[in-house]
Amino acid sequence: MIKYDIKKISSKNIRMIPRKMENFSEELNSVISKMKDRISREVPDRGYFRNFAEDFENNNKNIFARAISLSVEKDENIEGSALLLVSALHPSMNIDASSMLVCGKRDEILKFMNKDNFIGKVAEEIYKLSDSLKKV
Amino acid sequence: MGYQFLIKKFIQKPELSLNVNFTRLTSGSKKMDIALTSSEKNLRNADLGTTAYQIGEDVKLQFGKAKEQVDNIFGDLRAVQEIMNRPKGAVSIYTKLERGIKENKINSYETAMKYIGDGVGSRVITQRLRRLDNTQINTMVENLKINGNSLTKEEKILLKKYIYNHPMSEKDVDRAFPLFEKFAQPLIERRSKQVVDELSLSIAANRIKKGELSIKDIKEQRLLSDELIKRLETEEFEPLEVLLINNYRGGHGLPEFSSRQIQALRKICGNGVIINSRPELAGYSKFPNYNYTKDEAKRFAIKASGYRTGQMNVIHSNGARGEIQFRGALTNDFGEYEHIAYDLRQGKNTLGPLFEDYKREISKLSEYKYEKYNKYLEECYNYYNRLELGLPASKPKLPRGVNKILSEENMRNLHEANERRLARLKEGFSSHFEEVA
Repeated sequence: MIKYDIKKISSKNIRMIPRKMENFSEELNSVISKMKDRISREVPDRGYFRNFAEDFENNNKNIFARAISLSVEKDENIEGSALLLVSALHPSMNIDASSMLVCGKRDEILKFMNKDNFIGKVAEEIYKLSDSLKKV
Repeated sequence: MGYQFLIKKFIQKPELSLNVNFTRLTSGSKKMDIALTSSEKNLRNADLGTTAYQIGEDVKLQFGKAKEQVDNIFGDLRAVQEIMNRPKGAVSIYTKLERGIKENKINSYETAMKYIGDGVGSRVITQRLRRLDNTQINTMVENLKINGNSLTKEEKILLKKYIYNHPMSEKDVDRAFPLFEKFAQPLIERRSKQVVDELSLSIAANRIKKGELSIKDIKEQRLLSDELIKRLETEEFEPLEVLLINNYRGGHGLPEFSSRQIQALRKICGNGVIINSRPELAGYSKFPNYNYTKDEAKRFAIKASGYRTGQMNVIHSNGARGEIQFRGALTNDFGEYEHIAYDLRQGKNTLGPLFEDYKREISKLSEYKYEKYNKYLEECYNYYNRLELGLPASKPKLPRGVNKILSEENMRNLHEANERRLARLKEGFSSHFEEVA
């Protein structure tokens, strides 16, 4: 069994841009909506694009994570394709846990994000990531 | 005459301070499913030792098939030097069960098995690459492109200084390391390509078997390269389920799998498979609202001593849960004894009498010196990893003011002497029982 040397957290380790704390589902909805917007604008049909992410500080005590993010990475093996990921940052900020929600072309990703159960699915994944981070 | 035996404390522990009730298992009982249930009439305090022992026995039963599977997947690859497999021992299971109970994660035999996770442990040791000569390194630097752009003249000079271990300011090291990562990416991928390919095919075979995917889906969604799809159509593969991937590395260390390989594995694993890695490994900020200070970024290493390995939690085709680690032979050898500093510093002295001097010296280090010493250990990891990748490497020097007893060479000598001592004790142990039998 590997033993990890996660540093204890102190307030000086946290460098979050101060802003008003919203509740978890509001934050999640807001990030999802920003990502939909950015995906429509920034992911091209073909060619290079910069990976991007939107995050929020977690204030839900049931989730073991400093912050949650949704991000889009270009597929390094397929031109014009991308991966949508959800990630949770460990409170130590030394590591993150992430999982893929969907991969494909821009319109396929947006179609997936517009499904009714999308928010529920993201929330479910976040709880799994939180469990994983607890074991680190 | 007498024998000196090193016997681990018997694991049975009838009274637990934890408020958990388990049914007592009858020694030798085959009814494993009654273990750890909390709804039986005759509840008693847990006999955790017996439970751990029985889980250990169960793991041993599953071990043969799981080992065979790992050997079948990776055994014939040219890139693989050696495969090591072991079933998890009862003492280790005991410790883990205790933790799981405290965390309220265990309430049945199944959840206990699930929590153990790495019942079967495997290590796939990969071959090192041939040493690159100066011409090859120069060509690689000249041809290197980042986001489609060649390096500037200044960046090339900086990168070469880093590759050849020239003395550099801390600021230059921080600028050079991201270039070095990109430079080393093809080497990382060359070393681990076969392993990642076989892994991807086994994951695909498992998802096809479970009905989650068809070869048509894989083709349409381009979840595998054409080369691998062709193999999937014509060959048989061992199905392997991956639950979690950890791609650990130190502050200035290179990972076992490149970000491109991790992405490829992520795609074939599908939704729900969690990947743990350093936040900046993906090459962009996944948490843009966090501005790491330089000191914080240095602490991105999961383990202060720079521990590096590619590691996966898996379910074998016979249902056994296991952990597979991937690394090179040199970093694997170093990893065998690198942890003793951490263990002794934490007050654990399960390593035997040979380590007394080492223990005394490590406990004397101030926090500042211990941090320096950890940096030295991380440099040792990087040194061995560079050798595995065929890159120029210079052996790190022990920080000034740290006793030579703590040197990497001495750690290795102590570890080897201890291994020999344990082997002798084991011989004596069995001959003792032969005598009294």
